[in-house]
Amino acid sequence: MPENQVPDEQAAAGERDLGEAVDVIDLVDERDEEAGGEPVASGQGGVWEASSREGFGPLERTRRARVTPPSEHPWVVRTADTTIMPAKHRLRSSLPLLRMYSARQVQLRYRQSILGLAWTVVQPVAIMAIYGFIFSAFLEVDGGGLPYLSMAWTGLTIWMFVQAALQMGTVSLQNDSWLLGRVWFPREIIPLAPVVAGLIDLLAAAAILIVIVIVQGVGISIHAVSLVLPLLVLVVWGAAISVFCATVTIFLRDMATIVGLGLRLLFIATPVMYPEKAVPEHLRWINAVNPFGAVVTNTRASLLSHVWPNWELLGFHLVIGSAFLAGALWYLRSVERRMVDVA
Amino acid sequence: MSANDEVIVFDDVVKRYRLGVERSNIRAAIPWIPHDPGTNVPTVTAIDHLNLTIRQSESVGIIGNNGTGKSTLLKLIAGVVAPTSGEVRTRGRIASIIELGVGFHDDLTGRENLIFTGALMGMSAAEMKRREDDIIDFAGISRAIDTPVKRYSSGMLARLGFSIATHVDADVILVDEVLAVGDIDFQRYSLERLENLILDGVTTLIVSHNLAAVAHLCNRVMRLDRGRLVADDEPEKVVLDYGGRMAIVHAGLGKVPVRLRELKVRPREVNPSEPFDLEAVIEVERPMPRGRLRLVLRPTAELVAAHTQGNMPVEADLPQILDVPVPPDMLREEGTWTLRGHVDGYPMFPGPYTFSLELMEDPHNEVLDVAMAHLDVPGSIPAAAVAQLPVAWAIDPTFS
Repeated sequence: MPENQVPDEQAAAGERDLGEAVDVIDLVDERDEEAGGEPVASGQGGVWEASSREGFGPLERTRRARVTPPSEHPWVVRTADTTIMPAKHRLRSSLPLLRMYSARQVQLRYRQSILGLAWTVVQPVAIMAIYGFIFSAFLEVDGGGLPYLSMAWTGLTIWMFVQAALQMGTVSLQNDSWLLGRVWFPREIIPLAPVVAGLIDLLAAAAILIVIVIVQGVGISIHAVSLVLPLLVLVVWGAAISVFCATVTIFLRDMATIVGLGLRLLFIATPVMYPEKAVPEHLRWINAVNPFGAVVTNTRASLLSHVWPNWELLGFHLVIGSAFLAGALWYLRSVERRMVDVA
Repeated sequence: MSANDEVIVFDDVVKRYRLGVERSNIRAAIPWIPHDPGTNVPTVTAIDHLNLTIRQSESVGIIGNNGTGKSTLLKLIAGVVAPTSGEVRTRGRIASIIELGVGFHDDLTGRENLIFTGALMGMSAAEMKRREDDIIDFAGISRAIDTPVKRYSSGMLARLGFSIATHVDADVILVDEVLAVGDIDFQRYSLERLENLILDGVTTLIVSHNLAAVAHLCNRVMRLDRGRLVADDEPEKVVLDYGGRMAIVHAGLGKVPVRLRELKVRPREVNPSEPFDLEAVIEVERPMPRGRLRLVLRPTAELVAAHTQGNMPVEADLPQILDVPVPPDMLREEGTWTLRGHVDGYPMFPGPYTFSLELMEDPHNEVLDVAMAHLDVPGSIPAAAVAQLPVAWAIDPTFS
């Protein structure tokens, strides 16, 4: 049992011997002489040196522990390439964090801006005004039997989501790499957050869409119920591309540029500002193969043309998209342990 | 003690970092290519085949020189760094104060960051809301809490980060050299906070150069050297070995077992090169096998000032004229001893001098105790030197 108390005797000896102060010992002893042992700051270990004068010993462990026994938590095993964590556990820790991360994304985007959240509405309106003017006035694109504004706004609502999810998703891990080295959490949250945040913008644009559809006399029918399917395809594909491209971008920055170029191409190839009918017959397969093209076309079908969508095509894209998403998540998880070393 | 208590297990863990810039990371992006810098590129081994087991409610101090892998060890436990080979197993919620202000986003306010950081550590927003007041109180930043953290001082960030990490119901808490952060009050609060967490049974790992802190808080201390575990034992043993006796004294774990009672010089006034005697009383409470003694002769501050016509130097800057090793035999045996020394004469210039007998302990150079005595050499103070050299000169004609 080590002795906790520095005996008074020693302090007295200090006074006697160190009339002319010399060293470390003296610094400590001087403090001892100060009334009540009030600690005095001095450099780094201020409190520690001072406290030692007050009979600072090893911490006496008298109190009963209040933590849950470790056996109630699952083991998390980390090797060079994997974090082995029970899937249930990983999902449970991911979901609330994903919600918060997405909210933060929205919060940050409009921080220190005058219009703030109003941008979610102002932005698509402005883009619509620009593109709509070019396409309908200069290029003389018509609505293909539908009011042009309803037709184009439907496409734009979907496209804004695709663009935001892919553009921000691709650089998301790269942008937040500072966080990767500081705290561990399921990494898929980072590229998934822009997709979830994009849904908020999608919601705002969809609300305007409903107003336009009603004002333009297109009306809404029971077929609108089937919109759930294209929405699912949209989110699954957006998430899959975002997760995959974000992971690759960490290792190869080239990916961000490639995605930027790809988005431009995709904007032309997808009937966003023009009706599908404007595409020559022999090129329509492109639109069918393109999941976002299929989403746009079928959303218009059920929302504007009041017919049921092409179930087989959407189902096909949903299955492929889900497989892609699963693959992208697997890929992210199998290289996530390396990101810190590289990013 | 059973395997059920284990919360952290290292199984032959190696962490190597590659030196230099990589041209392309394409190999790292491919899952089936092993991610090891390999042997044909320059690497640095931060953790070298480390095995360890930490059980619940242990408080473990990690000490060692800079660059010996202490922080890497914590990062491996926190899961932010992957081992190059081997396996790290952990369980329970881990909160880390590896870098203060962890996960803070500049544009978010303190309050928003608080909720978000909690979420990163696995706490729900509702749970964090419930603790919000405690956290803000503890950090002492209630006025700034709704200001973006980019306007915070580094002290405020540190305090908020520490406060959050210690309020998140962690099973394991990792602390990396934060005990020296913040003002004296905050240091005291954070010490108390850590004490309380340890008493609550939270498994704690503390990396610190503050040996007194480590010795006080921890019931087990590990010392790393170049990525290897060179000591893993009770705090007193490891700290004494690494940091010397004063770290133990500062931590209140013990005191210096030898006291230098007094030192006398007879006569008090000695003419240059005249003989004099030294006498010291040494009390050995417990033997100090590695103790050593030395006798140092220094001019007093007044003498130095008179020589240099400058300001009075501080005590620590006084030059040593003599440094004489003293036989340490009496330190090896319990008892009170009188040490006597006789000097035939030393050619000093006039002035006041101080003899001090100093106690040290190998391999450290820290002075553990000191006894001093004055010596006056009468006469007027000369200008340039403090000692004469008795030389027998001879002048002979030389032909070449």
